[in-house]
Amino acid sequence: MSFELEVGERLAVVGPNGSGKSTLLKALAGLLTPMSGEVQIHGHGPYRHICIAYVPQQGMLDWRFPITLTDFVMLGRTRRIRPFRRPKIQDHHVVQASLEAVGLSAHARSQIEALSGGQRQRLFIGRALAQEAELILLDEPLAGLDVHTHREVLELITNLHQRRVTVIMSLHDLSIAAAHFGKILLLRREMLAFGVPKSVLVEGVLRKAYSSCLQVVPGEDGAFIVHDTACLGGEYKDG
Amino acid sequence: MVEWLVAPLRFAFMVRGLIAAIAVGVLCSAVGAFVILRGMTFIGDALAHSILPGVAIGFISIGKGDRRGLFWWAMGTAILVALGMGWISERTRFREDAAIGIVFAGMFALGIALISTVRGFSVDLVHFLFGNVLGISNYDLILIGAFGSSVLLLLFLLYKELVLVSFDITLARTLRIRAPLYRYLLFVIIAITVVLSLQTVGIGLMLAMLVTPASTAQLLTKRLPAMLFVGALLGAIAGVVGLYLSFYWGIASGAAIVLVSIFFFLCALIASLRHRMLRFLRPN
Repeated sequence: MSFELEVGERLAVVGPNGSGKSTLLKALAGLLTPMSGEVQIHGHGPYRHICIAYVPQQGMLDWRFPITLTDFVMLGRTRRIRPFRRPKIQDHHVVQASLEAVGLSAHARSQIEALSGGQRQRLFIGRALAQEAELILLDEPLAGLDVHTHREVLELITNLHQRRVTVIMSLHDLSIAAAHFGKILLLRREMLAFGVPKSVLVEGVLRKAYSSCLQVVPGEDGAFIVHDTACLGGEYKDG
Repeated sequence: MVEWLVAPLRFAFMVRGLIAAIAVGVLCSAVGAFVILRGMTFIGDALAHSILPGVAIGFISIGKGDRRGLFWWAMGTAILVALGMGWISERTRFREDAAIGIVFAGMFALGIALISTVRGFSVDLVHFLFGNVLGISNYDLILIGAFGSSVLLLLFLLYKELVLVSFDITLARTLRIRAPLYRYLLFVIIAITVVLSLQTVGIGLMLAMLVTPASTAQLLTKRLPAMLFVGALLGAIAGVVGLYLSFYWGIASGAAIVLVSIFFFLCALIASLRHRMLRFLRPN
């Protein structure tokens, strides 16, 4: 599998459960070594990069850990500060600016335990900014968030474009993928399609990926809304 | 009152005991903070129990001669066991706690078996299991000082890396920080702490020293640096108060120290529950 993204572009990785979305992201982050083949980003394996940030699914961390938001974001700079050193003024400035960029500077001294689900995702993005990441990989950051919070997180991700940060994010909602991402990668154990939403979200391709009937309806602003329709004997049923 | 406080200090063994109790209290609480935050309490306990065979072999081979060598036997075994457990917890296909449980029980049984071959073993076994802070020599104090300050210095210098590896191993890996190195380091730090505390509270009560002051501090503080500081303070105070109780009431010193730190924990627990209740009941 090979795909190309411009700097600052946003890619949505979609596909049914178990299609390998998380595995792909972990391999790109260098957290998993492929059984065969190798991962290359800019011609190097992920181990050569320290500018890749990976945001895991939320349940992976112990949110009762006694650290503040500032401490959490500062962790992203551990590598830049180097062993045996303490954070310098410049590091504190970067952390402060990162918290401001994700709208959490008011809570800088709060404990991470106090955050809501959406705030946690923003905090992760803030940490990636402090890490000075050029590529951010997000594993289903919208899972478990309400619609209002979806918008908050998506706005933040869209704004990353200005910072020339490339985003690869896995998600389930095809409409969101169509509306907010420049490219879509459709996965089902292999890459079924890659490209702009218009070329990927085609009924034939979707049927192959999801083995069910999905209807693509062009929405306003050229966005696509994908309806999950009840399917009988392989034929669409209206309604 | 002054006389009550000063009287024990007329005995050199009490002064040595107090210094050791304070040092061990500080050390155990600081290291214990990482133990509880990483959810390694079981490993800490297992590590303490698993060094018994090393101590037993040292005990048998030294015989009635100089007991100073015993420390190095304990230290060697502890570091080996720590590295072994680090390896098990990383590679094993068993559940980690089951694998460590097997090593822990097996090593402890082996230690008891070895000691039981020596005549009059029960007295010595009691010393290993429950410690004897009043039997601390100047040589022991030097060792506690040297190794203890090295551990504290390492915690200070590698603080951010140890926090990172304890809290978010995934981030450590994406930042290409050598997570396994720091994991093993943490195991070795726990092992050294266990050996240094052996004479104060013994194998049986080691876990309490690692876990209780740090947990108390966690209830009272919000940030990790504060937790480390308050924990160290509580550990030291528990050491001193416990030793005085032991002196005046004739209680085993290790048990007295642990009971005092458990008392502190209960006070902190009640205080934090009361605080939460008040917050819950406060009308908005």
